[in-house]
Amino acid sequence: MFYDANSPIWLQVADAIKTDIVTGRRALGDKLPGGRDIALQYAINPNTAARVYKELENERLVETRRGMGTFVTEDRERISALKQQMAEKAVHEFITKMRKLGVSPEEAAQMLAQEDKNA
Amino acid sequence: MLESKAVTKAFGSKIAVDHVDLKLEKGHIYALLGPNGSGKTTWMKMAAGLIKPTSGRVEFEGKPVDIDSRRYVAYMSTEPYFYSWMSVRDMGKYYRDFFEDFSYARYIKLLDSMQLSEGLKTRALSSGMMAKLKIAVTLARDARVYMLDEPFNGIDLLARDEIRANIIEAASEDKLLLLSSHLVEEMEAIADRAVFISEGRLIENVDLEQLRSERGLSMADRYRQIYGHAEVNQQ
Amino acid sequence: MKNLFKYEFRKTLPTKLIILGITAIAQLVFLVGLWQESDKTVAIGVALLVLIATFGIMVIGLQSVLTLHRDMNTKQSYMLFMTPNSCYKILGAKMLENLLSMTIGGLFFFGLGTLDIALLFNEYVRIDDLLEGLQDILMVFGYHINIDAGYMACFTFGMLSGWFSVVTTAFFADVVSSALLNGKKYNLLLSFVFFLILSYLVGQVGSAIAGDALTRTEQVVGTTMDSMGNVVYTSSIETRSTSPYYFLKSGAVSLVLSGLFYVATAELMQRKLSV
Repeated sequence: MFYDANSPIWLQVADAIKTDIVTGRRALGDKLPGGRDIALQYAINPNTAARVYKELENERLVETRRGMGTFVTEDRERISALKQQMAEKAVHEFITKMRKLGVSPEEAAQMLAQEDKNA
Repeated sequence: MLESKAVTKAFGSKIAVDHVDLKLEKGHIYALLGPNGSGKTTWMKMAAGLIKPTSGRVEFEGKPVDIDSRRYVAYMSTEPYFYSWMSVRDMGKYYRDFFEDFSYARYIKLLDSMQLSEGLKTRALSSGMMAKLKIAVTLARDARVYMLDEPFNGIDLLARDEIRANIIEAASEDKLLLLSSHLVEEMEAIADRAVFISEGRLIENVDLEQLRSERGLSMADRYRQIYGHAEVNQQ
Repeated sequence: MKNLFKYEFRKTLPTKLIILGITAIAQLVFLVGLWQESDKTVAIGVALLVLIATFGIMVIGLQSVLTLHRDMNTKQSYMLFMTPNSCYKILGAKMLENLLSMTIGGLFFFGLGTLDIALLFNEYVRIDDLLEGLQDILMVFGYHINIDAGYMACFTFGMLSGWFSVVTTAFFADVVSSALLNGKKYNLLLSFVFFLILSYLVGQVGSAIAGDALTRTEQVVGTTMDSMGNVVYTSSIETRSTSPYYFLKSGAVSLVLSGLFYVATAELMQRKLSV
């Protein structure tokens, strides 16, 4: 995974896992790799990996069961809320970028429709 | 776990390390950074008990570093140092003979991951292979402190990834890892703290995630800020 | 300590094997000469054997010092100094290995020499006769040495201790120069010069304490008297002999000096050495 080293890494890894959860790559109730394995998978510091899980747990996206490991939540609603949240964030980023370029939201919407037609 | 108290080392009139007060805690991977000649290697060697400080002292787990600390502190130098008449296997046996915490099984695993075969003679190794061998013998030990001086030097990309993985594997809550390297970007994600040294003096000891979240700086950018005069491209 | 010793031994093994090889060749030449009853071949064989015996022991001693030098002045120093062994142990292992090698080497050549002399005389020679033969040879050189077991023991002790103290002097000289001139190019040469100076001084001190090697005794053999009964002429024989006590004394002095150098070297290593 390629990192932006100027932003907290735990955040980027957490986002990657969130995306996996939303897309279903890491499905409901799936067991997640242990702290060290996540560190190895993403080539990050073990403390950073621990922080990732801690934050995901704070957001109730995963839960740690003693002696068994960490699991993706089984709460469908939580996951759709996450999806909504992430989509909104992507939109916000898109609009902000477009505004920076001087493209109004209306123009942007038109470009989106065009893009969708071509795709 | 490792603390240097006002440690100074002078070689004749040249002061290599200048009153460095540094406290390193276990459970972390530190990146030790600074330009050539800034005193990183000298400091590490004093912490490893290979050089005696001119003044001040280094303490390991509260006791002054001495011959006994070598049993728990593993130092890997930048240069190769093997006896030329030995084979890779002999090196493993040597370490096994002198270090109680050395695991030959783990040594074999490390050799495999870096594609070094046991039968090779050390004098037949390329510089890249010698660098890998150093890593293998050092990480095969179950030490409390690992100090690796330029672990990525002269090593190809794939092997660097392997070494990074091996470093992550070696890390634990009870262990202290200290990596010194010029390849700052290689360490961005695996180090969680950075110590910056310049002209023998301690500049800063920072938590990297904090550096990123509070100042939006990568370790490399902070390096450029401290040592360089160039503009840092901040977002 | 056992491990340190093991590796010191391995470091010196190739040279020893070469010496053994050359000795084997020389011995072969000697034997072939005997078998072919060719005096010339025998002479060549003997010459080679004497040569290799003399140089062999010296080379063993020299190699110990060169190994120490390399172990302290190249990056290979990490191998020894990163291990949890004190300088005393490291140095001790080297010295022990050297002492053992020289002793065994010395005994080996002595034994081989004895065997070859026996073969040379081509008869079943009793050790006593053999030793008498040796005595006669040595007499030619002006050394009256009484050869008996006790004497030989003292002699061996004296010789070995002497050699050992030479090696410890060399170790000390080398460590001093390595500590002072770490890394500089002419390190080894200076170390050798320092060694020579030191050896001379040690020699002076040693003989001052141990005394003269030879004691002269005059034995009156006969007197010539004139008619009045006055002693006109006395003829005597002067014998020079080396008392076994000399070897004991010089050996003891050597050992003490070796011990002092050992401690001094180890202390210096511990305090001054930067890897």
